[in-house]
Amino acid sequence: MAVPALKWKRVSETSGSQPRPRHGHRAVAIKDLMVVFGGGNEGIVDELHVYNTVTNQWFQPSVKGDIPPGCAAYGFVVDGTRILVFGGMIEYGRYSNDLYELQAARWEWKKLKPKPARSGCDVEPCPRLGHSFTLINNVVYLFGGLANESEDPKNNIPRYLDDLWALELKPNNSVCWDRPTTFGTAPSPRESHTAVSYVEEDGSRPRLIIYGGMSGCRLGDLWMLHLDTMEWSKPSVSGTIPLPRSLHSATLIGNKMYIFGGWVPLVLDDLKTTTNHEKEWKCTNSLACLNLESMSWENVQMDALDESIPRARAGHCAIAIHNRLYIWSGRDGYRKAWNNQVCCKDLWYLEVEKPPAPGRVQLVKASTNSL
Amino acid sequence: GPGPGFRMPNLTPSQLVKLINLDHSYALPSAPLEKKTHCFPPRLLFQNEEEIALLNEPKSKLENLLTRKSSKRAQKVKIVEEEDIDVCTPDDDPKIPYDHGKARQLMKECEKNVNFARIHDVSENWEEDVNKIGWTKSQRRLFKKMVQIFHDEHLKRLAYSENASEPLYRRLSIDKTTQAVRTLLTQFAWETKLIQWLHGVLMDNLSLEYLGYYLDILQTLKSKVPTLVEKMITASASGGKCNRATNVEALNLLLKRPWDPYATAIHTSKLKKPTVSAVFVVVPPGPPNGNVICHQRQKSWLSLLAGLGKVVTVSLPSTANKLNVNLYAEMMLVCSKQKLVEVFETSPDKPIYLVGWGSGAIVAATLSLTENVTGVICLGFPLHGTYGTRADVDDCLNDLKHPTLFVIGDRANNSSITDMEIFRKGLSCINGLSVICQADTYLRVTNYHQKRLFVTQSYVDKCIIDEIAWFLINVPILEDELKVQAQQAQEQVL
Repeated sequence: MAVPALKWKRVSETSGSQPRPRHGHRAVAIKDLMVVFGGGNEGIVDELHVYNTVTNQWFQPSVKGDIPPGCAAYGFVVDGTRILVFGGMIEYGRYSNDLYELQAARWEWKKLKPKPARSGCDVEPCPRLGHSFTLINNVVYLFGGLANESEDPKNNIPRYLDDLWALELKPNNSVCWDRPTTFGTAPSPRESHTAVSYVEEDGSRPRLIIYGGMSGCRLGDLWMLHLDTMEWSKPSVSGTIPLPRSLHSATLIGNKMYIFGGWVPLVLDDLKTTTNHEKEWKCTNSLACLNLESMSWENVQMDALDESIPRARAGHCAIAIHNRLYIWSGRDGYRKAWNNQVCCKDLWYLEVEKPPAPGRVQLVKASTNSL
Repeated sequence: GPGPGFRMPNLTPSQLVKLINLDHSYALPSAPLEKKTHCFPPRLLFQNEEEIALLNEPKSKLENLLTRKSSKRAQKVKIVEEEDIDVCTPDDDPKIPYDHGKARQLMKECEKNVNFARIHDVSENWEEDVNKIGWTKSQRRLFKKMVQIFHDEHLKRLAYSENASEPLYRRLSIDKTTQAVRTLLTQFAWETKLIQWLHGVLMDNLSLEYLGYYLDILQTLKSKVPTLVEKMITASASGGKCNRATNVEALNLLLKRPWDPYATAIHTSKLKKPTVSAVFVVVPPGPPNGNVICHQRQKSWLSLLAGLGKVVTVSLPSTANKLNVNLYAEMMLVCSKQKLVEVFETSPDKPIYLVGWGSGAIVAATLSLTENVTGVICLGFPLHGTYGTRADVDDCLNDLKHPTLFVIGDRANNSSITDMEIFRKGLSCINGLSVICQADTYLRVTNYHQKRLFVTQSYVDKCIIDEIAWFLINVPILEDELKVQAQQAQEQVL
C-alpha cells in the first residue's frame, strides 16, 4: 500500500541550554514535552533535559530527591507524569539493576525497592544494559539485555539475556517484580532491540512487539507476546523486510511502528566499495514502517533531498508527540576510533500523518500569547 | 553462556567484547590504557609559568595589590618598598639566545649611516632653527606631532641605554614608534606632497641623533608599507642642505633590510635537521595583496623555511582576484594541486609537505585528503569560522590521513587549545599541536609580551620553523613506535 510522501524537518534555532550530544540516552513524551535523560559520550551523563516542542525551547529542571547516577542504554517508561528508570550502564563495564522513579510534576527522584510478587522466584532482574522496558496497562515488561558476568568492570564477560520480567505498578504507587510464565518459543537472547506495546482500538488483545537487536550479529526478526494468553509467536509479515539492526528506535504512532536508524550489516554493494574488511556494520538513516493492523512492512515514500534527511545514526532517542516522530542526537558510525566517537547534535521531526484540522479550543489558545 | 541454538558468527570472545565496547561506548575506562597514541602531546612555547599562576589566582589584581601577600607579584611589591632601588647598575644579563656583540653592531647600523645622509650636525636647538615661514596649517601640525614622536623615542632610548638587552629593547621601541608614525601619516592620508615635504624637512633639519632615529623608523616602515615609503622618499625637490640625489641610493640600500637582534642567532642549529631534505609546497592564505601576514614577514619566514628544504610557493593567476570567495578557494585548491603534481614529477623521491597559513592551512589540509603527501603543516589553523566550528561530524577534515602539525596562537580568535585538543583526538592520523603563547591569529606576539619574554617577532617565527623541524624528525620515530605497538597487540590476540 502506498503511503503519502513523508518529509523530515530539522528543528533549528532552539532556545535554552542545549544538552550535550550523546548516545545511549532515552526519552519519553509527556504532553508536548520531550524528557531526555542519561546516555553519554566519553562519560555517562546524569543530567535531565526537557525540550518543549511548542515553544522550541530546551530547559533543565532543577531536580530533588534521590538523584540517580547517570546511566546509558537503560529502560525508560512514563506512566502519566511518573517516569521509571531501570538498569543500564553506570560506569565503564559496570551495569545496574536499580529502579528509580521521577515525578515529573515536581521533578522529584525516588529510589524504589520493588518486592517480588510471589515467593519462590528470583527477587529481581540481574544488572544489565540494552534491555527493553515497555509499559502496557499498568505493567512494565522487561525483556533481554546484556549482563556482565565478570567482577572486574574492565574485563567484560558478556552474557546475552532472554528473560522476561513484569514490573507491576500498584495503585498505591508501590511496585513489585514478577516473572510471568510464558508459552511457545521465546525470542533468542539479545540486547539493544526495541519493544512497543500495541492494543486494538477497543483496548483488546494487548501485545508486546519485539524487533531486532544484537547477539553477536544484528537481528531482524519480529516477535509478539500476546499478553492475554502470555503466548509468544513469530508473526508472518508481508512486504519488504528491512535490514537486521540494533541500537535503532521503534516508535508507535497510530497503528504503525516506525523504525529509524541503528547499526545494519553492510550489504553487498557496500562491500564492493570498501577495502577495509573489518568494517562489517554501518549506521543507517533509513526509516521502516510496520503496519501492526495488517502486519505488513509498508514502503515509506521519502519526499526529500539528501541534505534534508537526518544523517545515519545509532543510539539516538525517538518519541512520538501527536503525529510527529521526534529524534535527537545519537552517534554517527565507524568513522572515529571507538573511544572518541562524535555524536550528532541535531533534532528532527517527521510528520507521519497530516495533523487534524485545529479545533475551536486550539484556535482560541493559539490567539493568546500564553499557552 | 548464550542459550542453545544461539549462533555467534565467527567471532572470538575478544572480538565480541570489542564489538560490545564499540556499540556501548558511553564511558571511558577509568584508567586510560598506557599506550602510544597518534597525538603528540601539545607543545607550549613562551609559556611563563609564574605569569600563568598569577592569572589563575582567583583574586583580582587590585585585590592582590591591596592585600599584598597573596601572590608572588604582591610579595615583590612589598620587598621593593623596603629596599633601596638601585638605579645605577644594570640588571643581570637575561639569558637571551643571541650574540650580544653582533646584535649591538646591528643596532648601531642606522646611527652610523647617518653620515651618508648628512655630514654636518646642527645645533641642539635644531627644532627652533627650522624655518617655518610659509608653512600651511597641516604642515605645522604634522611637523609638531612628528617631533613629539621623536622626543618620545628619545626618552625611551635613554631609559634602556646601556642595559644588557638594549638591542632588544631598541628593536621593540622602534617598532612601537614606527607604529605611531604610521598612524600619524595615515591621519594625513599619506598625501604625497605633504609626506615628501616632511621627509625633506626632516632630512635637512634633524640633529644627527634624531636623524638616526628617523632612519630606523623609515627602515621599519618600509618593511610594512614599502610602496608608500618609496613614494615618500622619492627625490622630487632639489636643493636643501644635503645632496639628496646621491643619497637616495645609499638610503635605499640601508632601508632594504630592517635589522633584528636575532638576525645572527642561528637558532635552528640547536636542533637536528631532518636527514632527508624535504620539499615544502606553500599555499598562500589569500590574494597576494591581502595584508593577512605582512609581506616582509612572509618573505623572511619563507627564507627561513628554505633552511629545512626546498620551498615551492603556489601562485594564482591574477585573474583570480576577481572571483568570489568560494570560487577563489576552489581556484587555490586547483592551483595547489597542479603545483603538487609538478613537484611529484620533479622530486619523486623526496618527502613532500603541504604548508599553509590561515585559510591556506585549510586548503592544504583539504588537499592532503586526496593527495599522497608526506605531511601537512597548518599555521594559524582556523578551527572556528563563519559557519561555526570545524571538526563537526560533517567536516571532511576529520578524515585527515597524513601526519599533520597544527600551530596556533593561544590568543587567536579563530581557535582555542581546548577545541584543538578535542579535534585532534578525533583524528586518526599522527598529529602535533604547537601553541605560541600570547600570540594572535597570525602567530604574532604583542609588543608588551615581546618585551616581557625578551623576544622579537622574527625570533618567534624562527621558533615556528623549529617546531616544523621537530615535527619532521619525530613523525617517523612515532610511526615506528606505533608499528611495533600494533605488532605486539596482534601477537597478544594470536
